Amino acid sequence: MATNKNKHLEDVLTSHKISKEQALLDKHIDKRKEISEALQEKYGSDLYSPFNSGSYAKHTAMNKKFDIDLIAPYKRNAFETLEKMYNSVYDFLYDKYKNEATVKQQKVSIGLKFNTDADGDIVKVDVVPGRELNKDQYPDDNNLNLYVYEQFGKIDKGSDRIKSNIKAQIENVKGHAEKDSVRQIIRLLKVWKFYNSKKPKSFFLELITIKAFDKKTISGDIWDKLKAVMEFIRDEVKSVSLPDPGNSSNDIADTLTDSDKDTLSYDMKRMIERIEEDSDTIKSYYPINEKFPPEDEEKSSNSYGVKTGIGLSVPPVTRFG
Amino acid sequence: MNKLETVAEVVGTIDGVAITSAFVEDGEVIVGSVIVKVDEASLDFLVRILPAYPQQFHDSESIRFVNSDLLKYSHVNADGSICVHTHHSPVLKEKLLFDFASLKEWIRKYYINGAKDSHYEHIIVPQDDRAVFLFTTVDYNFTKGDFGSITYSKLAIGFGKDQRIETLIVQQFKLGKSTFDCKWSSVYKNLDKRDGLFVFIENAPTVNGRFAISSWAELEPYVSQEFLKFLNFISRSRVSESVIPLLIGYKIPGEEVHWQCVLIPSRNFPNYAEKIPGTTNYIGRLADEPMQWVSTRNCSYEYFFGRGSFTSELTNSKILVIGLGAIGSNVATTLVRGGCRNIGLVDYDIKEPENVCRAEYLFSTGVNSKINELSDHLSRISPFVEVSLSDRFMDLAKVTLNDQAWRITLFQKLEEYDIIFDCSTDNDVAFILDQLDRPSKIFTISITNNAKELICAVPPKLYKWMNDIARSLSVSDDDLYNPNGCWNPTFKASYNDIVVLVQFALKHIATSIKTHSSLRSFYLATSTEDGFNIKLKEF
Repeated sequence: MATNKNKHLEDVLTSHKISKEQALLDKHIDKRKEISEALQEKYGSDLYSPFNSGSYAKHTAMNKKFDIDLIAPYKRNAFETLEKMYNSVYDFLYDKYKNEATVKQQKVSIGLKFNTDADGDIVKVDVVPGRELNKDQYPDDNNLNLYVYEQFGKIDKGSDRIKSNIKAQIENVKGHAEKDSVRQIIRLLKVWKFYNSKKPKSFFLELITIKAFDKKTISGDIWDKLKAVMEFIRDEVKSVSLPDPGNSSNDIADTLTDSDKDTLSYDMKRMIERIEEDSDTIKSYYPINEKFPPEDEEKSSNSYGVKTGIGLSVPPVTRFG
Repeated sequence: MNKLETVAEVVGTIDGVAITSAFVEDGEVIVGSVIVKVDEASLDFLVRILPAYPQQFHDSESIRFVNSDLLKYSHVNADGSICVHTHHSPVLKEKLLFDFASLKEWIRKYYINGAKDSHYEHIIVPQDDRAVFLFTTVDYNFTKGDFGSITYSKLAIGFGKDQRIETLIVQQFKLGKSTFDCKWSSVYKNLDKRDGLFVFIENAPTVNGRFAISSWAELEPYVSQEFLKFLNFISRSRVSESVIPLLIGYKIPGEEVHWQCVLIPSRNFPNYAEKIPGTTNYIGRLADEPMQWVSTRNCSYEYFFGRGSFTSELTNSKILVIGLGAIGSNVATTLVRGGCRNIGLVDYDIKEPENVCRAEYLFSTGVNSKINELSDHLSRISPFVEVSLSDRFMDLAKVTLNDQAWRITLFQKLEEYDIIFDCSTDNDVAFILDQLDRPSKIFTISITNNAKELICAVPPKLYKWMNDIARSLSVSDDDLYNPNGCWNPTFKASYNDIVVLVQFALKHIATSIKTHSSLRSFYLATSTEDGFNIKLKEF
């Protein structure tokens, strides 16, 4: 039976709405606040006010992965080098949270994954330490230097030149003329990325989506728009440049290698082919969050008598070999 | 006009060819002599036309042009016949014209212009195939003058060309105190061994450049006095076998070592000592007695798989195959025939007679463990594959999955493999493999009823994708095969139905690995609407 692609995509967006997981979101926000206060207490006047970044700030979040980032902007003289800044923040967070979270060094951030709580929830917060470029300049331009802990696409490990006005990044989505459509497509691509463990950073998907809207006339229903963006990625990802709105000399396209870009282009090509050929396959690429099924499906219990709303999936089918 | 008359008439009309001795029937063979002129060259040939002519016989032309004065030229057989391969024609007259044209071409190319082919031609040895020695590479660079003993094993007794053929494999070369093992798999290394000898002489022992020497005396210039002393020592030892093989090694182009084999009668060694006149010293000599050559074959990995193999990214990988039913057994067999050398097999199950019709098992071995039978089968195919077995591995995995210490050990064990083919159709296995941190290349392969589709899932999200797709493709299970008394229904499909899909899938996987393309989940959809066809649906 054919799937109505537009209806399905709307359901995907609805089931992944952040508001559906308000309690879990609140836990994230609380934890982020706690970390922010701990950093301010530890670093005092070396630190400007930490602020929220990530998709929640950009209204492009989805409830399977909150992307709760906390930017910690340090003063120029707080640390001799960016590496020392990064290590200091890691050491502090590790010491403070080692008994209640896994603290991991990531590409430009320190990831905290808190142990499962009594409700079975896991809270994750990424802390991104950054340092102003020159003394007292941050309040004027919001530019920060980040430390690159591990190889990141074409950007080398140990490199310290990712300069980024993160506030400008946030404004980039918020201020877009077609911000609602842009946000919808970004959320859908993030659903795809999440369920299929794809490599591109969310920020990359955001920028290339905005670029597609800027370069192409994208209209029609939601599937038309998603398809147009996927076609843009398929055709242009290998050559497109994606200047960081926070710093135009910083090309976010470099966060993927050429081979990663080939793979992404091929991902889009295959995905469009499969969905056009058989609309049902859209469900495998863009699944509904089974925890929050659309109301019409929730009413009709499925053939296994399992209410998917409680998190159980339909039993696997028999395969042969 | 009969065949003889036609031959006489046609040959007489060919430009540059004159009959010097009329064609006559000698039994079933037509025989005559000709002189053939090409430019300034003029050569005599005895022409023998065999009964099958103008048809070919055993891949050879059934006409012979013989002149034993031409032995030193390329493409001349030991009996002096020119080796010609010409156009096919079932028409006698036309075939004669083709063959004489081909003879003239040989004269122009090899006799007048002295052309040498770029590919190496082995020396021609008057060997018989009663015994065939297979050799492979060892980790040692032989140099001129090396000699010592070898061990060899009987591999099999066969029959062909109206005679018994014994195949033997060379196992080890012993030089002084060092022993160098031939690179067979352990199954073959463990065969019972017998003793023989070897000498490495650097250049092929030939007369006329291409023909092996035929007398022991002709070998004398190639070997050292030390070797003859060694031979003398051996000849005085007690030897239980009636003949002792002597491998004679030499280099051929490409720094490759080739071995020929001659049998020494243990009661009649060819060596003797001769007093040096005017001294009390003796010199070792070899008698002017015929050498009894037997066949050898270079059976090294490169030759064994020379006609075709998988890409080296696959053949050099350590590969695990889980689940040895119709799909898994065919995957494993295909990998080994494709040159893969390190295979692990996992299955708890027993092969029953009804498995044989669509899996790589034999009726003759009866009820048997799948891992044991398939391992044996794989080793029979390739002398280079090491196979490891486990019937409990995935059972253990399931039981210990939630024990942290065991889980680490289990995952480390799985991650030792570069590639895992999961053909178990066991969702628990797919679920476990999906959790590997340092993913090997994993392919979970299964088919739908009637082999309508083959599904191949890869990480990440292997488990979820596979079940999503299987569900979307799922056809009714009402049509399963469920014979009376059978404990479990199974799918319907023949060997042909299944293997055509498995081979297609393996070709696609091997191509992706070879081209370093990203590995993607896919399924193969079959259709018979417009003739049978298979479509690749990659995700």
